[in-house]
Amino acid sequence: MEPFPFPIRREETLRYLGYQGQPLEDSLLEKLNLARERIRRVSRPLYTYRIFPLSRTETGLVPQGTNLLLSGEDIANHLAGCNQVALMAATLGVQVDKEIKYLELTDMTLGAMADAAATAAVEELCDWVEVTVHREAKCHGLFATGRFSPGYGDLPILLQREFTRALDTPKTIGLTVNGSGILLPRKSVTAILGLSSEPIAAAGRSCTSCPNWESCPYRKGGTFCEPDKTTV
Amino acid sequence: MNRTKQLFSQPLLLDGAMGTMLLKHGLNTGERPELLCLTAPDAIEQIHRDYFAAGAQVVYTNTFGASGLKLQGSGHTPDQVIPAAVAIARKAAADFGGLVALDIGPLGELLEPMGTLPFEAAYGQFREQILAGASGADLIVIETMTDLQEMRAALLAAKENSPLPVFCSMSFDEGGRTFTGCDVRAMALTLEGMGADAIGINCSLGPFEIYPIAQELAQWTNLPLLIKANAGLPAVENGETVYKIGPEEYARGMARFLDLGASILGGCCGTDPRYIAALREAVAGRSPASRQKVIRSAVCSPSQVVELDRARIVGERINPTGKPAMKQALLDGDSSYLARQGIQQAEAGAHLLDVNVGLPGLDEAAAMKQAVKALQEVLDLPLVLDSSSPAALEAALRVYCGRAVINSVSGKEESMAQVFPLARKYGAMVIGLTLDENGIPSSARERLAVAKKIRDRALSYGIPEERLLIDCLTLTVSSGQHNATETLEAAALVKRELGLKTILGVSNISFGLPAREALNQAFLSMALGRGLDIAILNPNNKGMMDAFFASATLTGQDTSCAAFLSRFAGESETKPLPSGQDMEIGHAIARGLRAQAREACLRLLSSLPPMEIVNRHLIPVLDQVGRDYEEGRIFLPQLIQSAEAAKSAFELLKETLAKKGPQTHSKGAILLATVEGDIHDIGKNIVKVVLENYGYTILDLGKDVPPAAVVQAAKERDIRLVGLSALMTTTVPSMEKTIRLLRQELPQCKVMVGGAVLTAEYAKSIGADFYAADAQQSVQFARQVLG
Repeated sequence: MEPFPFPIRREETLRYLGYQGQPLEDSLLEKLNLARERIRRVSRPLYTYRIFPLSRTETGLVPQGTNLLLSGEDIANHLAGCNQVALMAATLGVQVDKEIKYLELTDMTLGAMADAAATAAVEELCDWVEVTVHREAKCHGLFATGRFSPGYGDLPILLQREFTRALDTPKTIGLTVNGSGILLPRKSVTAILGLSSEPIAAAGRSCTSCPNWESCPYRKGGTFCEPDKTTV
Repeated sequence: MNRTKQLFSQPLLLDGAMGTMLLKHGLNTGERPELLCLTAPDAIEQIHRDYFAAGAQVVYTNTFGASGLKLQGSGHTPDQVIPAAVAIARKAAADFGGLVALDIGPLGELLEPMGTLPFEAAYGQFREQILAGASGADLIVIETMTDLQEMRAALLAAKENSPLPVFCSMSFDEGGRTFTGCDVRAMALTLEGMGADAIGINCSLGPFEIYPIAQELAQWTNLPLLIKANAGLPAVENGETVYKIGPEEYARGMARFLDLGASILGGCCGTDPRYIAALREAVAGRSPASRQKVIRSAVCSPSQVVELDRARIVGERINPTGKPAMKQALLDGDSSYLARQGIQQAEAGAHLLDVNVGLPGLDEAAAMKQAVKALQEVLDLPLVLDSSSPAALEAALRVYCGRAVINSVSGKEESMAQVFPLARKYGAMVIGLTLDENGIPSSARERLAVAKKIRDRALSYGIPEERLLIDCLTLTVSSGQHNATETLEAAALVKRELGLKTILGVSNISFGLPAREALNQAFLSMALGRGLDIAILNPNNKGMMDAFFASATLTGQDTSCAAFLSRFAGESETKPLPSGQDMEIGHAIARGLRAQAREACLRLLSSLPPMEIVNRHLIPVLDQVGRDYEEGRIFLPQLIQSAEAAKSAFELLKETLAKKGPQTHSKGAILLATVEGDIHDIGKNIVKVVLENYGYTILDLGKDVPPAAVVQAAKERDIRLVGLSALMTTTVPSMEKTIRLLRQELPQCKVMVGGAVLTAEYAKSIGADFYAADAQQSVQFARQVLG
């Protein structure tokens, strides 16, 4: 399998490490590059997505043909005006987990950097899937929203099990869910994108309207979840 | 023809896809196909009938996902679904004289150590399915596995709970690896060793992509080969998964497997009865090519196969004898220490790692199991399981994923009667020591005789010669100068007359003598010169490693001197690294320079007592680094780097203190754990490094720790401060449960918590005493509680 096909961006890796413009010595940057390279080498990026018509029921939204109930206000807002959804899942594979653990044991700094690099990588992979979904939507004259994951806002994280079942991810990309609803391999993401025949309202969300306001680690650390976002 | 005979008739045709057929019948994605056995038995029976009519001799029951785990929430149990499914297949088979295979698929959860599902829990799931269905079936098939450990659990459950033949097949990508990185050769070694009746490849790929992988597989096993390919690679069109290869092309591709000697063929995703009919036609009148017998001496982990076809090194450092730090780590259950020892030896060039955790007062079976998991979580090297306790060996063999080596059996009747059945059942290699009831024979000829006895007994247990290693035992020359030559002669005889591989622990040769290293190196070279296959040594000892590589080159075992050249490439250019140039300790720590911090500390030790250095130098600089972090002058990696540099100085001080006597200088013990269900432990590990530097003793219970285990350890060690971490909203309840139990059982114990989803308020609401937003804040609270 190919190693990670995208560059793992340094800025993104730094951001997940809570970087706020402190001066960086060369040795630290070298280590950061090493962490990114080691993660890139062991990644086996895989993804899958499928598009489903969306049914609206009393208890929530249901991608037709699945047993997945998308409940809560936040996902309803996210999918407002959408009559189809794309369910996507992406993973970097188990070797990444192993590598992070290995590096943690030999050099904790490198381990923490590798962990951040892997987070940056899986987000990069998701961006790629998102672009692919947007492209497919466009082919059908549709517009797509950004991605929204189980655990954001009031969308229950325990959806993961049914979500992975709907995409058969253990078989298609080797992505599983454990008894606590944790995705394994660890560097994995599931997400929902809405598809609509009408243009989607400007994607820019503000922190105050974000369902993750309470627990957002970036906000706590004084940074933002998206590199170009600068307003609270 | 009786059923078992029919099974191995050549070639044997299996059915095609079940899922694909059900989707055609309108099954929803995400629905459980197995439930149709209860709600639409006729439809399932018809699919089986269609496959038999097309020429299949075996159908798989519709039970791929009928495990208790996968049926959770369906309102049904394996006990209801599986017998119904078997009965349906049986009914269809009756009219055709066909066979019924009880189908077992993956559980959908990742096993330890990659995931969180314990091996025995997985075993229990499979056992339940086998007990529910085996009595009505002719054979068991375990298919579409991508995790060798899960396959092992299922195979063991099948073998221990049913007399039926078991076919095992796994799914690979085009690179010849499964999702979890399992290598097809490792699959072959492991499953053949454990008694699978046929092995092979199914799903994921079409016949043409599987071919090269099957080719490799054929060279690593003597078992019948099974191939059940998809109808080409899956593609998604309009939201539906489609397979592009038609029946004729498919059958052509599948028939080629006969050339490899594969004898069991069928279809997987995308195939239907037309494909099986075409396949029947394509193989009609043909027989699988005859295969050459495969004899390989090799061990493996899931992702790494080590063939014993040239000199190899077993690292001996994971052994508490004479190593106080290792002893302490074992007593504390500190797996990360063991893993670090393993990594060090792997990086130094070991090919295999010996694991010995025998210590008086320690539950060796439990410690072995934990050690195997900890090492396999981070390392690919195969392991040598070293114990004199059959119970500890079995505990380790059960959870070890791959083909291990047992160290050891001897020529004693009792030893052979205990160890060989384990080696046979788990497919392990085994080291035979040339000693018996009469002790170690002094002459080479007598040791050869013991080796022969061990060999003959192994064969009678069905353990082939290539799975035996003979250790002719090194005795120190200080007790008799002839000891070296007798051992070498014995090993040479065993090799020449019995054709067995040999292994030796070399360093015992110099016991009780000065200049041990010189003797050890010379003895190692002599042994390799006489054909020793495997040396047990300390890979961190450069002299020994150099001697090993030099000897392997001179004996021609190191083909083209490749290993030698790569080890010493650039050696001549290596200059000594510039030293810390008297860098001041504070500066070295602030800049995160480990070696320099240690050197500076060493210099300080000539004028200051250790505790003075801690209080006057280490703690002030750590406090400064902590303030810099909190005020944003440095960020996380810099904080960790400094903590690690301080740790290297601190470890030097601890060693110095330990030499002076056993009094403790710890400021108190803190228990750390990542709560049950959660496996995100990097934050906790960072906290550990930081706290250790402030002089606290850390008892690290690791991740996924049940509440009761936290309480028990806290009680045993009289802990006053517990730190818990949880990263997921779903695992915060288990943090709350742990705190509740602690309050109940140890009301005086304080609890601090941390983790991405927590806030100060949230922490308070679940009953914690303190919320640490980062590693540095945990220090504040530790100071409050412990001083």
